[in-house]
Amino acid sequence: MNKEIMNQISEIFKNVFKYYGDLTLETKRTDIPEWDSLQHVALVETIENTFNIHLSMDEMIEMQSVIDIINILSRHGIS
Amino acid sequence: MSPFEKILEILLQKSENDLLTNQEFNILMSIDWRNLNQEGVNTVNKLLKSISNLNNNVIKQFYPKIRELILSDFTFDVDGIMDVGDTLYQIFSAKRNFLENNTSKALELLLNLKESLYATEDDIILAVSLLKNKGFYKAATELALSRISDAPRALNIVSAYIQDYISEFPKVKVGLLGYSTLNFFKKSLHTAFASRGFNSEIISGNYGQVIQELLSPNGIFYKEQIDALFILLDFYGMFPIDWRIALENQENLIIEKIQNLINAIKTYTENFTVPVLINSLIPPPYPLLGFQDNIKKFGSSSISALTNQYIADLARQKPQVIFIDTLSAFYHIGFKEWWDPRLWYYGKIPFSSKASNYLSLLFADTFSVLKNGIKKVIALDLDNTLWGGILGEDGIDGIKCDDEFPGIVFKDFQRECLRLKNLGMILVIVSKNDPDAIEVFDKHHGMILKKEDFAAYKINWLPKAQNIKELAKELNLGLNSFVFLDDSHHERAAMRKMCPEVFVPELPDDPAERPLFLRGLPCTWILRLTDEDRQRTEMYKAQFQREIFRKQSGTLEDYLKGLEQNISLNYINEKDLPRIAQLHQRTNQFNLTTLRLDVADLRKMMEKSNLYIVLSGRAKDRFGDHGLVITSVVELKDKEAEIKSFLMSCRVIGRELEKVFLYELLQILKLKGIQKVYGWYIPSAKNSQVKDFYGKNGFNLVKEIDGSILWECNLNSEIPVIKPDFINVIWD
Repeated sequence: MNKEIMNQISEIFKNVFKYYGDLTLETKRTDIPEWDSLQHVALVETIENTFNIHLSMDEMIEMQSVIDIINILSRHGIS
Repeated sequence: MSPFEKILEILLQKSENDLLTNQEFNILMSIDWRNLNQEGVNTVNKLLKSISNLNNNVIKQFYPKIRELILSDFTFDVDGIMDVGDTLYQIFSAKRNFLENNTSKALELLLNLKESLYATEDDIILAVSLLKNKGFYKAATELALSRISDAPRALNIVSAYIQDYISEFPKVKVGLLGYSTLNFFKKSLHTAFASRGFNSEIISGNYGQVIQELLSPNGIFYKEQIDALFILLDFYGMFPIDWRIALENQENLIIEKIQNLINAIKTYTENFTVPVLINSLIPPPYPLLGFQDNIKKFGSSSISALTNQYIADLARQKPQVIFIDTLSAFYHIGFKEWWDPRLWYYGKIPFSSKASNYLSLLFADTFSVLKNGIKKVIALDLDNTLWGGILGEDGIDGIKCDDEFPGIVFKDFQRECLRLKNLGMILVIVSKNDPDAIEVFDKHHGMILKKEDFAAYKINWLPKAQNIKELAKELNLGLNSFVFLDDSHHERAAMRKMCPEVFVPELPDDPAERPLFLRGLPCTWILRLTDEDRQRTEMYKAQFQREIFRKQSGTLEDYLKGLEQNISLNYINEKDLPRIAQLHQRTNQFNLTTLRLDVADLRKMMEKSNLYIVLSGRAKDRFGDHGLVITSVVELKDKEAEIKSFLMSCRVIGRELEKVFLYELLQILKLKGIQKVYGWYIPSAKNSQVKDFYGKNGFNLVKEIDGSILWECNLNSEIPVIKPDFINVIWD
């Protein structure tokens, strides 16, 4: 899988959640203290802006872990 | 040769009309240009050297990759980049300067982007990243905050540094109420305040408790000391319509809802004098009642119009309520974009992220105008600013200002300036021309502005910064009340450098965009319109004349006698109330107690005329009318009185008007049977000149506590003030 995309997600997690720890595919919402409902909206918007995509409400709710993000991006042609 | 190098070689051989194939493009994009080996670096350098030969569309295609180079550790030969984009070139140059240890030049290049009209969001993100990577967190934050409206993503990069950055800014505490979820807006608001130079603490009311928080003595805002209250209105939050209820009853429910809000705000304003900022309601995208939406009172358009009408009426009655126009915030984003249904359904968030940014900036700008006042002087250039062309080259017949294109654009710009003059701002000219250029305004038939519209002008060949400093002295105004409008990038940059207090907006290069641009500057949006404001130009012109007279007079005594001053005294009345409040709010130097009374406070005192005397004076002299410039509030307690406030506009300092006024004030109190008058001097950052005012006028010192001084005056004997005889006193 694309190292570049993981790097970008890692940057996003730094900026939105101030999370500097290790990121794996399994990293999920409950692992990250700053990932509350308000920051979740910020995450969605940052993903949209970074990858130039528009997410549906279902996808917004689906996005609860790194692997979810990867899957959603892939569905939008980014891999 | 690596695939990367192969692709670059192919690129260099592409002819004018060729584009990259998808495969070639993908390979190029997949490589991280920040981590090239030396061969890769050499290849890229080759590419950059001939980049201007490439097809523009190809260049655009790998623009993002060029950006990556900036964040790499390698130096690249970037002179070819100049043709690709001015902003990118600036950023590249900054990087080169960093690598050569020319830090201040690099910082200057990057911070210039704050005002750049052509920098894209990606450019700003790049510049902010570069600053952060080099360890300049403050500069990175400064740049990101200056562009929050059009480059909000840049803020993510510096979010960790914002709190530190704003720690020295003035602290403000603001209450936030609304019918929907407020957390999201609260975040935008905090950033908007940071961008405008405030360290804000925002306290939001409980969800959906607008009315309760405004009315209940147990409410948060009844306990916390806040500087302003913001009420955020949105349609769906305020009017969740129940379609079970019969249509004929909907109207009453809606009116009831609006009236509840208005009455709650009224009650709040009776208990607190802080400003209340409330935004106008805008209807949702589609009508609720089809083609009747504007006709029947419970259509969404009608509901919004009705709500806004009620709020406008309230703002008319209560000057502390400020009604701000949501639509002016959404000008930049297009009507469709303020509403994001996902956010509403996810968490009752009423505005999209972009809309929140713009609207919160509008609230913050309004607060800033409340705190700092609006600009008072518009300093204008002439050539290619007030008319098209250059007078010295085109002659009076060649310059453009008329009803044809392009002259029509400059004529409209003059109209905007005239509008601002009528709202109380002063127009002055700062231009590099022969001094007789001023005659153009009366001789050229296309001009809207006339010579007499300008309160002063400096038309000469001296540096503009020097001219503006002299104008500030002659008009007796601070440099921070000036706006400087000039079409020349060079003159603007020079002014920003030499006079950083002057506001120098980045006037659009295209003259057609300028009239609207001028109208869109919040620092020219008046909060109130008083008679004083309308006559301000005449007053400043008179001031200019006085300065010239003063330079010609001999001794101070000759000057004062020659002025032929009059002072008209009056007790507080409805007409003078706004001006007296304005004086209390704005006066800093000749102000004994810096008691900030506003319209509400003074009205209460006006109504209790047995407890308070509020006296004011209008000053006139040979050259003109200064208007209402001196005022005092005295509290009466049996046989004693205390001067709660005594203040005078700095326009008239040094003419002994304060002596006459004090004398007359004491005379009134004596006639009322008062035997002792007390007055405090309370020190502030700016009023040290009046520390001994009472003492110099015959008062006795009672005590001193922590710099504050209590003075007293015994009225049983002669009034100790020596009244100057060259000022005439008139009673209204």
